[in-house]
Amino acid sequence: MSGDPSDLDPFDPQALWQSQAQEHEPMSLAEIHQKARTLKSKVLWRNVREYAASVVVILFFAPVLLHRESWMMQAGAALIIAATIFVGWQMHRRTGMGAIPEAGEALRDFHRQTLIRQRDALRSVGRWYMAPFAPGMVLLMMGRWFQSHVEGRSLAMDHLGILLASAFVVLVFGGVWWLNQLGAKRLQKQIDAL
Amino acid sequence: MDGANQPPSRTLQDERYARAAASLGAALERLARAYEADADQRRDLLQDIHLAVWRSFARYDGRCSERTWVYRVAHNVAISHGQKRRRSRPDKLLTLDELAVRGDPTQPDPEARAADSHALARLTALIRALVPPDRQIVMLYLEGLEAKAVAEVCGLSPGAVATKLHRLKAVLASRINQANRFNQGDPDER
Repeated sequence: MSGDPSDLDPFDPQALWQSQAQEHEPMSLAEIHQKARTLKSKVLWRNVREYAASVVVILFFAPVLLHRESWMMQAGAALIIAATIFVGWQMHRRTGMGAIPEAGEALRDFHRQTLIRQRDALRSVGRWYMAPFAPGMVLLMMGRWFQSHVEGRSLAMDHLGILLASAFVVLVFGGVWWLNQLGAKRLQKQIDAL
Repeated sequence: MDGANQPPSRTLQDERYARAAASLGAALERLARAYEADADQRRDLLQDIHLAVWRSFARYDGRCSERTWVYRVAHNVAISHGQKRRRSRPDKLLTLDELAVRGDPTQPDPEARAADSHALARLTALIRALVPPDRQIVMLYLEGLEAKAVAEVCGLSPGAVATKLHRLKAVLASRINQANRFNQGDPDER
């Protein structure tokens, strides 16, 4: 059906559309097999990167577990490490839960399922991504406030620093939560329009 | 498809893919063109579609025809691709009804500007401006599928598709005619 589109009746959109010349050579089966192997290794490395990010967080907080003068900070670090593992597991689980194009579902069903999954992930981000870190963060800050002070700094200055750091964490968490809720609302509009 | 001449590693999945690529390869390329304007991204999308079609045949259970299956998989890959792209480049997409009543959305498109007289470029730009559900119906119609087949691919009722197609044909004719009259110098369009 390829030819010069200018020779065709421009009022026959089907003929016009199907007249397009092919730009690309079809992929051979060998290329498809190679691409499938590449995809497999890409997925593997993506998982490795995600696990590595969790390991970095764990290594960052692990030394606090040895901070013997503050049981609050020790408990806080332990809770943050537990939260990191939990959130990593949640992300892994949620990645595998979505509809995949290869399942051959009707377009409307696939589109709807994809949007609903994304909306739910954004809407519940406070519950599965932020809340798990909250107890550990609170205990860490309380440990710093009541049990562990920086030497050579006045108590007032130390407390001011803790307050500023706490306010920064609350702002970041609040901002991320708010942006996610906006995203969920936008997705809900798309779902309603389907 | 002479099985005696096939290498032993060629599976039913490979056979089905090869058949689909031979019969629908050109349609898949047009599909990628309708979803993606950037040439490099389009090539990647087309390769992703082919890979997904091949992978999908490992789970194909005959619940629909191979043609319906391939169109479903290909469009679903393109939808996912479009969602990722729109996060970085959030264009305002239009429904068919919005397209019918609003100004021409293809005017700011560099491709349409550069080849304004080219009806195909305008048609492609019009398709890219549509929201995915309307875009899918338009493209399946342009590929020559009947309303019933379009409905099966999309998961809609044949009645809903027929209504959309009726509207679509009017919009396409109006837009393309308008562009042609403009390019031929019709003073009413100036």
